[in-house]
Amino acid sequence: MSRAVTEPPTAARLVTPVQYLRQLSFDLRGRPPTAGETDRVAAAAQVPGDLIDQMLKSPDFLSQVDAWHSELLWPNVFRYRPQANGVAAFTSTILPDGAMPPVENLSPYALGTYWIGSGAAISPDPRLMTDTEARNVFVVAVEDESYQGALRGAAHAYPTGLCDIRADAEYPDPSVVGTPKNQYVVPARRSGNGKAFTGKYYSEDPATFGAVLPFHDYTHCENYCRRVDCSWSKYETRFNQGPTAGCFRDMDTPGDDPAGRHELDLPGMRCPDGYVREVNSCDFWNGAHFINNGAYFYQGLDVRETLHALRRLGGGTSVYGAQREGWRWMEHYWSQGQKVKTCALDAQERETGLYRKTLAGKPIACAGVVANTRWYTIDPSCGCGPKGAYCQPVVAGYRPSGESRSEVRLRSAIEREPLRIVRSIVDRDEDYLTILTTKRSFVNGPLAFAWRYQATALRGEGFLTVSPPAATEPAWDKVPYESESWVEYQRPARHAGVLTTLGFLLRFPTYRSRVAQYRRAFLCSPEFDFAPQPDPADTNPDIARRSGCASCHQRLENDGLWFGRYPDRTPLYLDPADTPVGDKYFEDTFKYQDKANLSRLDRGPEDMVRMDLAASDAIETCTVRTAWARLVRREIGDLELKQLTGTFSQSGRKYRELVRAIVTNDAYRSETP
Amino acid sequence: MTTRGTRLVLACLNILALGCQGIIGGDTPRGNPSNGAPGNDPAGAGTMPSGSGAGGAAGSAGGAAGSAGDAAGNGPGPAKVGPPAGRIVRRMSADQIRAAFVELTGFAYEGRAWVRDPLSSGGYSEKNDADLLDLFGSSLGRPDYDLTVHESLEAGVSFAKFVEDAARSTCGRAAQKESKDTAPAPKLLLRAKASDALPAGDSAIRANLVALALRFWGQALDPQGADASALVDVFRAASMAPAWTDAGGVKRAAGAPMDGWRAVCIALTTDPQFFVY
Repeated sequence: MSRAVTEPPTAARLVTPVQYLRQLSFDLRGRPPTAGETDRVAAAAQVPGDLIDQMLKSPDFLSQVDAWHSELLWPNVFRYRPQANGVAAFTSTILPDGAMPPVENLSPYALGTYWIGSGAAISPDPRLMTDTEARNVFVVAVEDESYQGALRGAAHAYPTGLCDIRADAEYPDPSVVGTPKNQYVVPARRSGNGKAFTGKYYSEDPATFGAVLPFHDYTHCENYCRRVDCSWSKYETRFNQGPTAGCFRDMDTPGDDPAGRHELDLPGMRCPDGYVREVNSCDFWNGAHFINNGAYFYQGLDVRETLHALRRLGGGTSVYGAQREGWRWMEHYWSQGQKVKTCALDAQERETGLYRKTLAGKPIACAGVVANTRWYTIDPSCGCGPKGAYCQPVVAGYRPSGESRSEVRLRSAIEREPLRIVRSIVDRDEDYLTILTTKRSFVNGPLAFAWRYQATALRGEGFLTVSPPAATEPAWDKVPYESESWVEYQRPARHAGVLTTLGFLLRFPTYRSRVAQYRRAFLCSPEFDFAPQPDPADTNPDIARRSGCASCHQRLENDGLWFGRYPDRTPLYLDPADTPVGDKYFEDTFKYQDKANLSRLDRGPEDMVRMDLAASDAIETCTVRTAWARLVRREIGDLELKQLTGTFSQSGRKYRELVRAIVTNDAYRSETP
Repeated sequence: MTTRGTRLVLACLNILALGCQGIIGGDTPRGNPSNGAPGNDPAGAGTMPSGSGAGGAAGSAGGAAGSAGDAAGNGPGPAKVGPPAGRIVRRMSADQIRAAFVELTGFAYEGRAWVRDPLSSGGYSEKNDADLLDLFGSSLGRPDYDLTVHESLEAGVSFAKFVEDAARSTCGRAAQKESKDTAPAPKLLLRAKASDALPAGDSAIRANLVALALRFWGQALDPQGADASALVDVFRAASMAPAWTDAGGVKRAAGAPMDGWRAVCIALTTDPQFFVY
């Protein structure tokens, strides 16, 4: 292990010991040698073997291993990253002068909006309010509907939701009935009859309606009307004021709900069936299709829809008034111990909703509810959950490269997990090829938190929810969210090294791409680099047999079955208990595949690797080729490959030993002119 | 020295894909090409085989390849059978070039730039001390593993520009820091003092140049050889420059020894021998 490298090599133009040291240091540590090392080698006229050992054992070497394996695993899931429901957070001064952000920079995900900033200045816009109390909280509020004009004029695809954060809109606890006074006042100018109107919110009744959501309703459109069929048209409202047209015909009075409940008794809130629905039933902005298709129609709770419907100020249609949603101090999992003003609807910390039930009649988990972009129509008693676990802060503005700290940390953790697996195998001098089969994995704070609380709250392009690597895992509980340390744990039997990490499954989002990358990176297979022209006359629906296509797809289709339980473009795992091999999903997805190969679904990627290992030394030789190309930077010769593969194999396939064998090889120590 | 370095940079720019290896290895191989000294062995103890000398004879290719060049070092010989003999010299990666500046000058190349900042409202903020070689890593060839999945090691125009900018910045800061002899852990003054000046300090200055070349290039220069003398010329030009007034009317002070070391540092770090290995 510590032998000095002094034997004269046979290759031409051997580098000097100091140059050799420089090569070693850059390749194995990513940096030049220290002055002391240079002096030592220059004086001794050789690179001591123990110095190479030191380099190979250094943390910097493991960083190099990360970098080398990045070229195999392509750790970038930005396009495919799962995100939780966004709450807009501005965690620094918005503009250099502390002014408010331009409205068009507000996020379409801004379901609740608050700004946290230091040195925030008072907004020059009188319609925006700032709150510089309490650790420089910098918040925006909707003071009146005139602000809507500003938002509408922003030409934003998605109107921004704002909540009222003025002091009197503070809602002490969203689980408590109503606003602080449990009542609201419709001002005279908006009541529809010229008189102020005072009403009360629902009573707390967890079994039925549950808590009233924390908002004030102080305005109500004087022209707010509905027709008898509960549809609504903005073109009709201004003229639809008489009983024959339905205007106010269903005006409610307190306490006369068919179920005897004490409902929100705003004028014009009642549909013909007697339930209070207010906006959602006629869907103030989003059309009556919710009524028509029934998909989002839930008796008795539709009034909550107004919360966010009205927060989406504007929306391209007339807005006659703004209802206000209050706010609440709340400590979020990402806010590093600080409390921030949070829109009250988001600040609900229930784990299960009050309204929506499963088919079995059980409450549904709010985490799953919040994953839906229209979550407040499914069950508006759901918010961001305990300490905001089901949401992530997002930066203002929909910028592809703009991510909040929370988003960056989770994405980065997803990208680094497979590299941590490789690093651990290399660092412990274990069989390198177990990077493709091991059950071992790691979590840091964001990843552990995601697995524990956010698996059903995360969503991405084309999918809702993520299958965590295991149902539960005690190790996840031990990692605080803010921790960047990686903690080891064992995954269940279905896992196969880096191949079943979320990072790999997201980066290679189809079973075909997963097989292709596995074979490209770990078998050095060029089989997908070229495809002959297809025969236009060949219309075989089975691309594994169609002319031209077959050259790649014969492999991709059949070997893709190994990844079949990880559906395309999802980070899900289809458990055999729920989705057996004979399931229609598999029959449809793999209808052209050889039925005899369907057993691969249950055997999974680990068996794929084991079969390849048993069949040949292709993975071993590919490992040698890849490492050689990285260090020597040229194609390896047959003799060199044979020798190094033998060395690698005899070492128990220890990666360090392979690297050592390469960097002490004559070819590495000499330059090609 | 400066002429040679410039020539190499320009030549590299003309053969982007080759990463300079043909130039470094063939035309002016490491060592003392000008005076022909067999000086790649820093100890001069003859412990290395003859093939290591300047323009050295290219021998067999480790048993795996044929001739890799003629005895005069005039480039490749007959068509090879199998892979070439040794390792291909290539440009440093983006991360390596950054690490090299930090290690060898003590400073990262910093400057004003918009950087991704998750804590800002728009996801970016302007920093005055942005780590530019890291920030512009993609321009230096670092893959993002989205659109590019392999590190580009071409010594292209962007690379040359950033290296030169980094050299001017980091060498300037290092020289400024070491302008007093009491500066701890010197990076530039390895064998000389800040007060050493020509002509009296010629010996110390040459010793320091040799030490710097070993450190920055991995090359053992003959203190009296052509390369060392070329570097002395660089030092002299900068350290002994008279006071002058530029075209804008700004008066420039006369050169001082640390100006010389700054110039030498720039010359060393913009030479391909620095950024290829």
